[in-house]
Amino acid sequence: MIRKIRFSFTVSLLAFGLLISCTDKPDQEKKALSQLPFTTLSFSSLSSFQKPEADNWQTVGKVYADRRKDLQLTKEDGSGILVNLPDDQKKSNLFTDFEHGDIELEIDFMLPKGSNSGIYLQGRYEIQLFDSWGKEEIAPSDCGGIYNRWNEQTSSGYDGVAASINACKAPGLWQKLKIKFQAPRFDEDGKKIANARFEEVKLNNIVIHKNVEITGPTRSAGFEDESPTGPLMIQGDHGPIAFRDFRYKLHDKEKIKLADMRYKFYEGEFDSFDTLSSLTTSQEKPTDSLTFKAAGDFDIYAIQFEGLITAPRKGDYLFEVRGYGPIRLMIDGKLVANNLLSQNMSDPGYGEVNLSEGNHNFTLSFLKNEQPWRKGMSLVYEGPQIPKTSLQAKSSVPTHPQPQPLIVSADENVQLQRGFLIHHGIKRTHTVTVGTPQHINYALEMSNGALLEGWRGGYIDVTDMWHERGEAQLIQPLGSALELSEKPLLASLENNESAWPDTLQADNNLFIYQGYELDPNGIPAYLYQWNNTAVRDLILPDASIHGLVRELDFQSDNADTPLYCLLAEGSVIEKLEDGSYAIDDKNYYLDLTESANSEPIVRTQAETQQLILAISASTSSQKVKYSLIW
Amino acid sequence: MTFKNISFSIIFFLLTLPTLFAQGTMSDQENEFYNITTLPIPDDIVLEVGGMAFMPDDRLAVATRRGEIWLINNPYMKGGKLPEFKRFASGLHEPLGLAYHNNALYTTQRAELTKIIDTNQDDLGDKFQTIYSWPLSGNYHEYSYGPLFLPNGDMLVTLNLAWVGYGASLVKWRGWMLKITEDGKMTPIATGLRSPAGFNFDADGNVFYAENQGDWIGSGRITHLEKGDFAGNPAGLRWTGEPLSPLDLKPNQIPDSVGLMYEFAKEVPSLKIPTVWFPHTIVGISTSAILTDTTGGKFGPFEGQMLVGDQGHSKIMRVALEKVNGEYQGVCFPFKEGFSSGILRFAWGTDGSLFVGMTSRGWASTGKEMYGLQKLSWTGKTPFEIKTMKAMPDGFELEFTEPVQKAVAEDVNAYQMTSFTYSYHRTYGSPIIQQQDCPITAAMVSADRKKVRLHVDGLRGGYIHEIKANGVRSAKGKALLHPVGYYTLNNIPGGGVNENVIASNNQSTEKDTEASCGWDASKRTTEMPTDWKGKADVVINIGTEPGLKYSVKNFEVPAGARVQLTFNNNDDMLHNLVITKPGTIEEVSTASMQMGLDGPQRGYIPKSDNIMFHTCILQPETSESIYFVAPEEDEYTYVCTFPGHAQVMRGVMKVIPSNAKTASR
Repeated sequence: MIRKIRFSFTVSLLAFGLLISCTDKPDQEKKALSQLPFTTLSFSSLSSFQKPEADNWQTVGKVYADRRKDLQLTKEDGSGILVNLPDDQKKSNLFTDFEHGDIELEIDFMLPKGSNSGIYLQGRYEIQLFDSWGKEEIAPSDCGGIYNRWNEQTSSGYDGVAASINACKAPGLWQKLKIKFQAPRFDEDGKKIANARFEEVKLNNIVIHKNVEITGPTRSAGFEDESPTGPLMIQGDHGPIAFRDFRYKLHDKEKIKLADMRYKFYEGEFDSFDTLSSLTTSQEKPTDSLTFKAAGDFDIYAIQFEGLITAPRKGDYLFEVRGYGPIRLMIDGKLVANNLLSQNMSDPGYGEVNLSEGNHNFTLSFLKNEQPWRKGMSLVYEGPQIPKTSLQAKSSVPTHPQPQPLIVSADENVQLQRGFLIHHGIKRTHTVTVGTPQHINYALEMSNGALLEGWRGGYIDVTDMWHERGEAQLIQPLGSALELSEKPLLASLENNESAWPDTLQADNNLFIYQGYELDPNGIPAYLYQWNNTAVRDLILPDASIHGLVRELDFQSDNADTPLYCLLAEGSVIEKLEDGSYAIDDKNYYLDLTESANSEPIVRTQAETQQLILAISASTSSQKVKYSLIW
Repeated sequence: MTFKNISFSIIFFLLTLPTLFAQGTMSDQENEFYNITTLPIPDDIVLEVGGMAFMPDDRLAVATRRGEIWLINNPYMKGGKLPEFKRFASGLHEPLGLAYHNNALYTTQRAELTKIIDTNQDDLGDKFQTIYSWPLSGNYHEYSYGPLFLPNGDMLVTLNLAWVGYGASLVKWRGWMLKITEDGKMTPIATGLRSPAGFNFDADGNVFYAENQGDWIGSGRITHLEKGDFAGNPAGLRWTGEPLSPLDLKPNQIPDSVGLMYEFAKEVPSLKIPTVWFPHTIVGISTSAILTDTTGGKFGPFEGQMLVGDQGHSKIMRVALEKVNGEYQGVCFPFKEGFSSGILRFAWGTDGSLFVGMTSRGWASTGKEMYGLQKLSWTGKTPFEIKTMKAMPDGFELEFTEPVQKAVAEDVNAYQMTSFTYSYHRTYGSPIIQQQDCPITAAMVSADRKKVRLHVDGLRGGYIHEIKANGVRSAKGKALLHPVGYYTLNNIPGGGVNENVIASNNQSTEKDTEASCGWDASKRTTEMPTDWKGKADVVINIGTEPGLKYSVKNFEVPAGARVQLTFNNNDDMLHNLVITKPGTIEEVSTASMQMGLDGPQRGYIPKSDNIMFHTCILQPETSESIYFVAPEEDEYTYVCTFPGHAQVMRGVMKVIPSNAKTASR
């Protein structure tokens, strides 16, 4: 008997439906909570910190650092931002009033030019914060580095680890640091049995450390010993710095315990959880682990685990279920999480529940009703002072071997590669990427002229395009990408207030991309046509600003309807003292040096601000030139 | 630069050595008339050929799936010198076609038709002009092919369907052939296309495209495409409501299970029936390149005929067309096998040799190399072949390349004819259906002894007619190099299908049309034996991985264990799983390649005592469980015997002592 597999069709169809709807309109629905909220540390005052000896630390409302001026950071009164403005006398370090062991923390920081600070986990293990913007070679003393330990006898540093990539942004911009830290472990006699460890450190959304052990306190630590806990220390004696959005989760050792587990096994194909409750099964057995392997050799079945969850403390718990088949978690008789009957482990189901300390009944039901060769189910949770932890057995989750990566390097020559690219979570299909020996790279959406992203560092990983069938056909940038707006470069607006279109209309398209021309170095200039206007778009790396320069030339046969050019979009756009713009709440700078004889317009559209330029109706050549600096 | 200085025909010879005993070295026999030369490719170039075009200076331009274009100087290796490679362009998105026209190269990337110009003549493309662009959903299967230049300078491109468990046209104009002018004006020409990787002209300048077996496509074929045609897969009909569409047929006008395409086309005028069918696995499995012999005799005696490449079987077929009742139809013959990788592209060299560009990444082929470039040349010797086969009101006329022995050729027993067709339905592929024998009643040799007129009973319009002329000998006593051909009889000369022909069906012996699997039902037990009391000792699940692989390459079972083996075909092509006796894998593989029409009928299970257990041939996204008792301790190779798969798609079942603990997977 040949068995037809129904579900794979509908599942893949659904996946495509989603893909298409994503590109058509942004998802309006509120995303289910996929992790528990962080504790935020308010910067309305210094009350969360031990009182520093000197008053170089304060909370302010706004900061500004001119990217060209050494160590200059200016402030405006208010709250929400922690700032250090030291001088020769006043230069205390700052310690939190809480102590931590294992911790996950996220913080934004801003460095003025040439400045230096650092975050010491437990007051001992430093992630260096330093203005390393644009440096080709980086050391442990550069931004994101795990700073060297110090040998007094030899006056030399050791055991430091540089960031794996220089992801540092320009002075005066907000940068994001995310740290997962595991404290050292000690036995009952206080003897260290495991080193402290940075499980993961991300700078500007790219991983710069993964599972790095630290043998002891780094140089200039607040304490010389090691300990299960300690206060977080921010270095204050090396230069000015600002912080905002300090969020953290403290983790403890105690985790959920599973007890009194057993499972019921049902042979056959089940499409609904409710069917199970009406059935009796003789196959009920005790078990010590949650795994689909309890089903033994069966392909198509349902399995229901029951038992006790022992919560170590009262609080909010978040559960995540996944399976190659419908999976559902009930606690104390109430539905907590289900995967909406998905057949794919890449679709999680989340649910949050407040549990009292102690025992709770749980039921985990898994319907293996399709695609027998795809096997796996998982149950993961996060709780009060508990990081994401798996409850299922390790063997219940499949592992896939990864192919040898296929990398395209632009170290020697300019490289151009077309392919698909994920941008703001959406697959872009008419994308071109360009890599340069200056290690300043970008991606452009050719179908609408949107400069999608820029990144420094390596060029691209094309494994997803060139391995086997290349089913994803994706280009992966090898660097921390600055994601820009995907909206069309050009639009005809009735007036300055008209909304900018999200997409070009496929059938009534005024914008036609005509390809590109390469200069002798292989740098492309793109050509577009908009009604009667020809546009030439040249994007060049500029090592002096570690960024990109874009030159747009407009040439008209005769006057078109009013044509506008979108230069930038972001939450907040500010014009700075030096005449350049800080875009998206100081995420990057835009320096407009030629503006087609037109006055740039900063305007507010719904929740974003846009920087646009009217291209005047003229038959002479019009030029727009701007730099992107990040 | 180092070169892979290896002659490819030698490697192929070694790899296929076991098959040669049975078949008498077909590739070698063919080599006497047409031989293969391998162009050495520098080690640092991944020449996964997507497109090929000769330049006026006789350099060969090659577009690769990694987005490069290479100019190859001296591809003929004249003077014993190696070809020289120069990179002309890079960064394209999987170009799958290349044409030279008016000092420029034209290629089709996934998203657009592109013209590439070398403005300063330094052999580097510097202007990449987008002639026309189309939307993409982002699905990997949305390959785009072309262009083919029409005499007036307009271009044709074809757009593959997406694969989402079936072929789908997720965005406009997937599943279509488009005509595009130099200045970017697009006209949709025809739809119903599924995987239109190859298309080209016949000798008269008509456009034919090659299609692969798939959903709605019972078997490989070529189809003459004209404006407004619907070639069979309904996915592209989604866009017939668009203003530019030349036809208005809608997807819901095609029922899920139509029956016979030939009959349905009488009700649906825009449905274009295939010009020539290539019976699946018998004459290739994935038609690709098409090229008509326009060498003026430099390539041998087949001037004006069409060559059709096959990606999966690494071989070339030959097609002779004729026009009957105003429509093209014709015959396909085996021609040359033994290429090194999956054939995707052809180009004629100026010396009349055929350049063959290949890739097998993601789509495995019998030629084991991941990519390659080879040259097929006529040795000057004429093979004894059926040159053409033409339909006659009451039979066929065969024309041979050499005079035949009259006495033998006039014996009707020198020939065998059978006819069959395929189902037209949503399902992937089709078994051979409605097969019946066509008795040969007379054979008459022409005065020049180069033609034989066959009188045949039971001709059926719309059916494929297989001719086997094993008994025919040349005047010099030679047997035919390829004694078999497949004629697609859409029209019978002299007024179409006449009623007598239909009536004569009853006189012929209708064979069992239901596809069965294998020859011995005891080797395929698909229900658990009742005495197992609902429980197998060992359950094995095996799926597939892309590139002709089983997901489980080996497993262990104890001797005597009751085994339930489930094979899940989650690939997008047909597979089976056959467990063979130790040491017999090559014999079984070879036998599977030689099943002919029995293949589709028997689930590609050869008749062999060396086969112990097997599943049936499984559609994509289907599964089957078989039950057997594990044999004595030894290692048993399992294999997919779908033709072309057996060399790579293998695994080993190790039977261990019965008291050992099962360590399966």
